[in-house]
Amino acid sequence: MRVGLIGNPNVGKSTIFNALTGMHQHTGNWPGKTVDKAYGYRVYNGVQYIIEDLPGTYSLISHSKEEEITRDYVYFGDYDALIVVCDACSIERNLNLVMQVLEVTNKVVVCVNLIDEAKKKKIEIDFNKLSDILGVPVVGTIARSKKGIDNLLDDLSRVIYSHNDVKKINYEVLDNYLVKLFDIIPNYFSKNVVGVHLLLKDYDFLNSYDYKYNTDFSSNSLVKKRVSTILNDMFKDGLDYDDIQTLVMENVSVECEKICSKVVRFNDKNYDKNDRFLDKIFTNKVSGSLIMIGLLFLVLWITIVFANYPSQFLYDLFFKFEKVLFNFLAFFHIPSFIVNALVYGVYRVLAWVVAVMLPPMAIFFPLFTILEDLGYLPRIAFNLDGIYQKCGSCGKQALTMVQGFGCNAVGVTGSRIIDSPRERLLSIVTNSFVPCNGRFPLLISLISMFLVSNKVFGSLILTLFIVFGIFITFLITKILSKTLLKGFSSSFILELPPYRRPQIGKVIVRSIFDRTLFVLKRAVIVSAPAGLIIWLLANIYIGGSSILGICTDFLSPFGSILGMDGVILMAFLLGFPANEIVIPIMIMGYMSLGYIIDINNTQELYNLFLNNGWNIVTSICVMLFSIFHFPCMTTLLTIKKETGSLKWTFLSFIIPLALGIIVCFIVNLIVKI
Amino acid sequence: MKLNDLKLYEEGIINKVTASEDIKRRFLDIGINRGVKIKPILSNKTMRAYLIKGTVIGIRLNDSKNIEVII
Ligand SMILES: Nc1nc2c(ncn2[C@@H]2O[C@H](COP(=O)(O)OP(=O)(O)OP(=O)(O)O)[C@@H](O)[C@H]2O)c(=O)[nH]1
Ligand SMILES: [Mg+2]
Repeated sequence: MRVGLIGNPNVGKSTIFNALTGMHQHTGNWPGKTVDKAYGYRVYNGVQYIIEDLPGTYSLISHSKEEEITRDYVYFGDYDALIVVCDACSIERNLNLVMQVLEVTNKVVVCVNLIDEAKKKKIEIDFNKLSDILGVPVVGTIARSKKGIDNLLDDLSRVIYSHNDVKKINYEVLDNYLVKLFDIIPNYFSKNVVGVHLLLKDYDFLNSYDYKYNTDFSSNSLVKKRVSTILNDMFKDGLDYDDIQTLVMENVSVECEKICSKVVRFNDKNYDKNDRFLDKIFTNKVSGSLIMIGLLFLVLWITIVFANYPSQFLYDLFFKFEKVLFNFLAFFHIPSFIVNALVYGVYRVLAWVVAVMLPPMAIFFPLFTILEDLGYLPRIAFNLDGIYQKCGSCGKQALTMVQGFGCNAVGVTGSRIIDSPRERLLSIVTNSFVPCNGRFPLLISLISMFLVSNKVFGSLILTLFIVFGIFITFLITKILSKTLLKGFSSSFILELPPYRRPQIGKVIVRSIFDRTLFVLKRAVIVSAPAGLIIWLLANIYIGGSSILGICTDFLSPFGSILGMDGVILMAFLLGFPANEIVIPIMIMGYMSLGYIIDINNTQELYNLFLNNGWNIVTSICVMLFSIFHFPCMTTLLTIKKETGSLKWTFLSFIIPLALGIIVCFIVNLIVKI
Repeated sequence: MKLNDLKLYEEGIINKVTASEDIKRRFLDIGINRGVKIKPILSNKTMRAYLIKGTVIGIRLNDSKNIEVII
């Protein structure tokens, strides 16, 4: 049985999906978290359900990119039933969508989620009455704690085989005109819906309809004639074409209001006073900006402080084990070339990635998720809209930018929430200017080694680097919207969802677990081969010098113009598949060029860098270059997929790189003078 | 009067929406339609946020100037 999960944005569809399937689809307290379909399975009472999570949508007549997926699914998708998820705290608005869905199918279960929040706000809902009025089952759920999920499944199995009459929209005046189309509309799909879309001349809809049912509504001239006659009649009767949609929605919305007055009771008129208070301080010009920067600093500080301990621990552990591994392999008389390659190539890079890179990632990510769950992110979008508008874009770009902190590829995909194609491209191209999770550790270790060891100042400096990245985001956005992506931003609408208490414990466990698995997976797929390659490059000699030596010698003049050296550039190049291997490769590179054999702690790491001619300027250039260089392979592939254009993929590659070269060149120049 | 002229915390009822097709659709989606109560509760340079049917929606001043309200 195929079941689709639909509903307004941010009502907990993905959380329900996870509760149903036991999967871990990402959730977050802001509208637009899910932008693509996801599938999962659940067997219940011997029946297998294929469950699909869909992007949220406010209504079915709408047109933004991620919402179209959902609209097409409801109208033309292959499903046996739909679960329409509603937010118990704003049933009235959610019912609009329910009514539109009931127009086309009666295989519906209405799932009223977030009843815990509603209870807190003293909102009372009469589920039985609502179910009677709508003609379909209504289930209350708390998706986060999996309450009511079984009831949902019970009702689902019942509804699939039932043929209930359900509540239909009353089109009132429009009815007179719609019936005039009924004789030409076949029976297999709601005549009213087809009629309305004919009158609206909604070709997106009509084309899909024609495709599915083998009709020719979008091109048939008789149909067109009939439609224009009716529109003429309407006009004569004093109804505007413009009014059709308004009329439909108005009728729906009046109906919903009526229903709500019967089934919902607000027992506390000031139920949202905490939210309004938080909103005031989060969006105030002064306190809002301070909190934004403050939170960024706080998150970074916690990351730096707490990453240190597991990092040290893993470091010690791995390097003790390295000797064991070496002896173990040697014991079996494996040729020393292979042993060296495995231990000093593959194992070392893996060990570094896990020990040095993983802890900051595993700490930063849950902190970020907590802010996301709280509902803070849309407030950032609201605060920054002014700046973005000046740059020719909109506040939603702040959401995708912030997602970039986690992973730039996610930020790129997340850009689908931006309606205007021009602004979406702006957001995609500039996304890599905020350092992703995989680049933080590099920044953190270099800052603590070369700039300040004090963790508070270290976090401050890191904050500055990031703010600089954000500033560049604005700058490039502005330049692009004056040149390649000419235009200015006019329209922008954004929902500010209610604050919800994050499930701190669960988030921490979940994201440490997820992150660890993710990094380990990448470590095996990317870091291990990269380690092998770099070791081979360093140990295969051509004409007296190693291949690595030849490459780095070749790159080194270029590197020195930028305040770096050949090994560093080589590391960035080889780090193309994944940013977290840049530092390990650098270290490998230096070591293989024969300066040091054993590195047991960060002090020796520092010495290794010093011995290779690093100074403060080198470290600053490396940090800047790590923020501004080509995005990683995954991100670029995602950009290709999202834009479908080689040109924009190339520009997303070249713009940050050019910028990095310029910035490092300038820094280096200034220092030399 | 225009929605933009509504003072902070002053409640109005939407009377007419005269935006372009696309934006009007968006408005309708989120429940901005004739007869609906609307109240501005937050503001910054480019946007204001409104309480509407229990949810908070931020709208650019550029867009909200196309909404007419009565008090
Ligand atoms: N208190 C509470 N929070 C919930 C419940 N269900 C979901 N949430 C939270 O609500 C937020 C939104 O949940 P999602 O599942 O991401 O919502 P969605 O409908 O998939 O959102 P989009 O994909 O953006 O349309 C998350 O922060 C969830 O943790 C619930 O029953 N109670
Ligand atoms: Mg979702």
